[in-house]
Parts: sequence; structure tokens; C-alpha cells
Amino acid sequence: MKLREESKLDLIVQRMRTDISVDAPPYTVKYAKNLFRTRVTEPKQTLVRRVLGVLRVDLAPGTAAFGERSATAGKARQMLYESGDIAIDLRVKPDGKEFEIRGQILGLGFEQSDVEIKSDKATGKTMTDKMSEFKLVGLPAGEYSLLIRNSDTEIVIEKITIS
Amino acid sequence: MKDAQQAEKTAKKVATTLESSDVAVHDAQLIKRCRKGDQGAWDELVERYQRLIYTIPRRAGLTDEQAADVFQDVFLTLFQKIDEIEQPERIRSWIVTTAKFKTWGIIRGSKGFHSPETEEEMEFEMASLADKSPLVDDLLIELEEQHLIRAALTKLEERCKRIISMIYLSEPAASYAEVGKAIGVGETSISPLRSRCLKKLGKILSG
Repeated sequence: MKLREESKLDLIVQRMRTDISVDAPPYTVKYAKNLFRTRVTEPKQTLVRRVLGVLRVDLAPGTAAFGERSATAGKARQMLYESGDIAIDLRVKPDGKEFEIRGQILGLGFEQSDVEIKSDKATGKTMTDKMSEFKLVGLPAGEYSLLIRNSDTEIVIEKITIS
Repeated sequence: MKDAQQAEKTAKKVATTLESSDVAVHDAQLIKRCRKGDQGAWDELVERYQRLIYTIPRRAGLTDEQAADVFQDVFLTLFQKIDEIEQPERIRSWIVTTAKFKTWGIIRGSKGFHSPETEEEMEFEMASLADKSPLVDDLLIELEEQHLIRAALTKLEERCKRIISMIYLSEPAASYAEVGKAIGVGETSISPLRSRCLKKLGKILSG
């Protein structure tokens, strides 16, 4: 019995010494944790900070862009919102009879975050990618509110008119 | 030579008994809490299994990016099927099988083979190619046991956890003098402390 116990301890030591496993990259862990958000049905009291995005720049399609990234988006209307030290770059362009919104959150910590858009006529949900970029398609013309949420901040942009 | 073979046999026999009912019970509780929508339980489950899930595709030779894809896919599947898992206390086996299944799918895809669509079909093919599979059962058992040991470590008191981690899990391993300095005791006390902590760890893993 004692020998068996010693063998087990030897095995534990051997397993620890040969353990070359590493942690998964933080962005994948964050993605996995964020998956569960859609399941949490009961809203709970949290310390999430809710901030409003304020429109700073609104450029009609074909206007000179405000950055290299936007240089190719000639047919897109471009908007830049600010919310504290975070900026949100939105580009809206027609897609047949509907519209497409592409966006990027320019600030830390918004990778793999939830994005929701709502109007009286339509809603859409997606997640940002590793570059904090997102895309929503199939949106009819209308007035929308956009919500971007990570673990501690919700950015709300009201009255985005798409037409 | 015979002694070596006997030792190998004994090690394999012991290996199949390294288990922890504490860890399994805790896993089952986490799954039950997740089913009730507990984000904290899900976060703990992710933290608990992230290393094991990521290691399986990496040890099979996939790139970091492919391993990350497998990792995200396993958790997406777990999220989608969390209400259907029949034996929550066996979630570790479910996770390992799923990670193995998805890893094998990528390996087959990269070689231009058709990817089987069902788990049964995949298991059948993996069994028929067992010798060529980089994910042999012995390796998976080893990874699972390393996962169990890490999970059991979290149940030790802080001082023991630190001693064991510094001596056995750090690279390079810490000397007794370094461990003694870190926890504020003399170097000569470390050996008996290490031994006691190891026994406590063994007890947790005795299920």
C-alpha cells in the first residue's frame, strides 16, 4: 500500500516535471468568456460603466477620408464618434435596398466585444474581432441606436440615421 | 531489463488511477451553475480548462493560430451543448474528446482529406489510424493528468501551492534556498515541507 502511494507521488512529480503546457492566448480566453454573455438572461446589478458616444465627424460619401483605413471607402458615409478616450469609426454604405455598417472601436479592451444595433424595424447583433472591428449587414433605412459592450464598459450611440 | 519493464507496467497501472473525485464534483457543480446562467461559473470553467484545451492541438503539431481556432471552437461547442451534456462530472472527458475531434479535423483538412461529419465517423477513422495519430491515448492521458494536478494544486493552501509550483512547475526549477527565501523559512525546512505538501496533493488526487 505504501509502495503504491510512493508510486503515485512519483508519478505526480514526473507529470509536473514534464508539463510543458502553456496558457491559451488572452484573446481566445476572452472570446470564450464572452460567449456566455448571450445566455445570461437575468440582468444583474453590475459595475458596468455606461457612456454615450458623441458625434465628432460626419462625412458624406466621396468626401476625403479621415485616415488611411478609410481611404478605400469612397462610397461610404463616414462618422467618427468619441466617448471619453475611446473613438468609434463607423462607415455606412448601401447594399442593394439595405445598408451595411462597418466599424472599429479605437481604444483598448474592445476585442471580442458584443455589438448590438436596434431600430423600430430591425435589430442586429455581432461581435468585434481581434482588431475590434465589426460588420452589420441587411439593415433597412431608419434611425438606430448602437450598443458596444465589453466586460466593464457599455458605449451607447443614439440616433444614427441611415438613409 | 525486466525491472525496467515492470516499473513501466507499474507506472501505467498507477497512471490509470490518478483521478480526483473532488475535481470531478467541482466540475459538475460548475456545469450546473452554468446551466442557470451563472457567468462566474462559466468564467471559472474557461480558466480551468483553457490550458488543457489549447495544449491538445499544440501537442498534435498544429500552429498557434490553428490551436487558437480549435480552442475557440471547443468552447463554442461547449456553450451550445451545455444543457445536453448527460454526465457533467465527466466534462473533462467530453472536452478532451471534443478537442481531439476538432484537432483531427484540421489535420485531415490540411492534408486534403474529406473531414468526417460525425463524431462516430471521426472516432472510427482515428482508431483505424491510431499508430499514425499524433494524439495517441498515452499522450492524452498525460495531458489530462497534468490538468488534474494543476486543478488539485488550487485546493492546496497558499504556502504549499507556492512550494510545489516553484520546485516542480517552474522552468528552471527553483532551488530550496530560493523557495526558502520566497516563503520566509530556512532552506533546511523546505525538504520536509515539500514532502508534506506533496502528500497533501497526492491525497487530493486519491479519488
